[in-house]
Amino acid sequence: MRMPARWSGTLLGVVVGAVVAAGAPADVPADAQAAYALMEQSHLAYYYGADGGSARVTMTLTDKKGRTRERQFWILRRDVEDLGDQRYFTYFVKPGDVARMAFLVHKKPEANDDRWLYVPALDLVKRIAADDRRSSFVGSDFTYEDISGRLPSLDEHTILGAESVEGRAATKVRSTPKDAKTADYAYRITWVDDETKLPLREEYYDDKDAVVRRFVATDIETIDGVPTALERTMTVLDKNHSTTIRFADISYASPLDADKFNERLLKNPPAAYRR
Amino acid sequence: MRTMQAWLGRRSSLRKKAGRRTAFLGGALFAGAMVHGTASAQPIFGGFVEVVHALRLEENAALRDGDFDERAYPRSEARAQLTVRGFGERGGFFIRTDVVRDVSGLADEDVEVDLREAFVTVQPVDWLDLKIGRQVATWGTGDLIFANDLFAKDWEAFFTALDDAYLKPPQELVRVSAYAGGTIVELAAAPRFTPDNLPDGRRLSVYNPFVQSTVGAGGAPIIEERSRTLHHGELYGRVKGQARSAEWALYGYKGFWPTPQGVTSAGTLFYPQLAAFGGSVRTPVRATLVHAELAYYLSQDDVDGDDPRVANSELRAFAGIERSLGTDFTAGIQYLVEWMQDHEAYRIGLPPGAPAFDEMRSTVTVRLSKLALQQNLSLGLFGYWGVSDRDLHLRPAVSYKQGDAILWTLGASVIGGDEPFTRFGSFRNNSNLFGRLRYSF
Repeated sequence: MRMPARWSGTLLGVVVGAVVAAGAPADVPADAQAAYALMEQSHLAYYYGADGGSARVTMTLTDKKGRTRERQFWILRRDVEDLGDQRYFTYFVKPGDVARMAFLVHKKPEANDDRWLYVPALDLVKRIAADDRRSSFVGSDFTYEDISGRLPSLDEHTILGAESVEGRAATKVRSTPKDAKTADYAYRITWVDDETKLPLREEYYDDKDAVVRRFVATDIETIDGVPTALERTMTVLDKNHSTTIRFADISYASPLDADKFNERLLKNPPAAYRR
Repeated sequence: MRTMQAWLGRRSSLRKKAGRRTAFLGGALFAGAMVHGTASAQPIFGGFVEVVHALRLEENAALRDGDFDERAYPRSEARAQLTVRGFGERGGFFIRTDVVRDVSGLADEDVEVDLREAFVTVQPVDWLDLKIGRQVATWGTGDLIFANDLFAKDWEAFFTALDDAYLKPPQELVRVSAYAGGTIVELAAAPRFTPDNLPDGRRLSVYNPFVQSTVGAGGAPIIEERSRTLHHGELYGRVKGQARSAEWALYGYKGFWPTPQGVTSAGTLFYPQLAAFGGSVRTPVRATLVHAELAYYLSQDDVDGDDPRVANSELRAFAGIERSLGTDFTAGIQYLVEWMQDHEAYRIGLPPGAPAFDEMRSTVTVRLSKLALQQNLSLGLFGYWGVSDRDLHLRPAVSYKQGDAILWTLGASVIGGDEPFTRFGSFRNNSNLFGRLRYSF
């Protein structure tokens, strides 16, 4: 794996559907407002669950010949405010060439994130320039934007109707980027779980209405009161390449304070997040 | 004495002794950590095996003697690295050691144990971290240029095919880091001085200012080691903070010039005393990262600058920017100025006919890096251009990750200059092409 040059947020998503939508422009029709509200709830459920948490992540990359590669890392998150700034920390355990490397992100949805990489062989805390959000996260099929989240306000949303996924009742929503330059797809369709508001499935379409990438979330469990998809897979269809991330040892109970996401954490993280 | 600016020197046998001593120290630390229970959890092992081979790109008259064939390879070796780490509630330990089998005939020994790191970390109270033992340390904002980072460097490794990580050799340090709010206050004390490791005429030819010519093994001037008493140790300090996205830091140093910039009456070289202080800032400006650093080097053995045998005081400053130019493509540029403080006194003190450095010397660096093929292929170029010295050093490299374990690297170390006595010019005719194959576990 390359230095995790891009990376910011993740995962650990979820809140128990209680969040109220705010910020939908008042002059849009009621059904568009409902679609926007649903996507905002889904965004909160997936990216802002509880106030933060920690998990051990196993990422498996599978190429078209079925060969797999695996990496393991810890991920820590702390929200500064819902739909707003977040702090993320990633500590790599495997493979060996990146072990002890760490990545710190101060995510700012409305501006460029602040990002640091710790290179233990040099004891170097390197600052990383803001990058294209569509580039790959540590060589996987997830983009930086997939991991850190795309603000619902960047897209126009339309509810397409109800359609269950693997037996779970869901609502289908079509989201079209307001500015085509901010995305490398024409539109996407999300199946939002009616119960937890988590995205169960997402399909990214090109301008010929062909599916380019597909996201699937499974194994939804409630941990510390937070519904969480334990496994998420992104498949790039034309390359027949996929990445699965599997969560374990999840805790939302006592996330690290936001002000602890600093240089000390990069160099010397708590022992609990190192193996 | 600015002609000493040319990096040169004869490697002493002290390094080997230091290696043995610290191997013992590492073992003791490990045992101590195990006994003390800081390593209560199961230790984690890792490492790699690597072969490195470098090939000269140009003939070098200074090295032309009976064994020229051997000298065609400035580095040829197999290296195995083993790491062990363990963590407990209030501390941990880390050991990283290399075993190197040399086939170039240019190393001290055919087989060498190179203990890279062996330290324990302890957190006695919540706001304090101690890191004690053999370790590498880096601070400051430069990208392969340095002002306030006066930790030791290994330029020989840097010029001859090893991974960039080998630029930082280990030092024995007691490092204390205190945290208050968002501010870090750090002190690092080294009981003994670790100079930079410079080419000594074996792997690369070097410039000998006494005879004003480029020489090979045995021709480099003798360097007087600093004695190993506490009085000859080093002290490093830093205060670092952050205001919104901007990071600032202040630095101090008390020790010795890292390269032997003094001449004794016996015609050998030595490391004069140095005190340094300075500051740095690093901040994003929109999508561009900007950094700047300033340091004042006070040459304590030649405060007035009129001793031709000792380096003058110097002001060192650089600024740089870095930004992404597209997906997985970043570029950076830096501008470094070294300003000699008593240039007139320096010029008067020079022997007749000796080459002189400019009062104000500037260097430009450029970095380009691109990742492709699912970030498995990396293309990189780092270049130094000595504007005043009219010399350069280019570091192109291509590496390919084959699976999670195997890394292929092909690169070059291109060194050139108009004059034989400048920073890079003193190593001209030593350009080499290298390959590395690493298997990590």
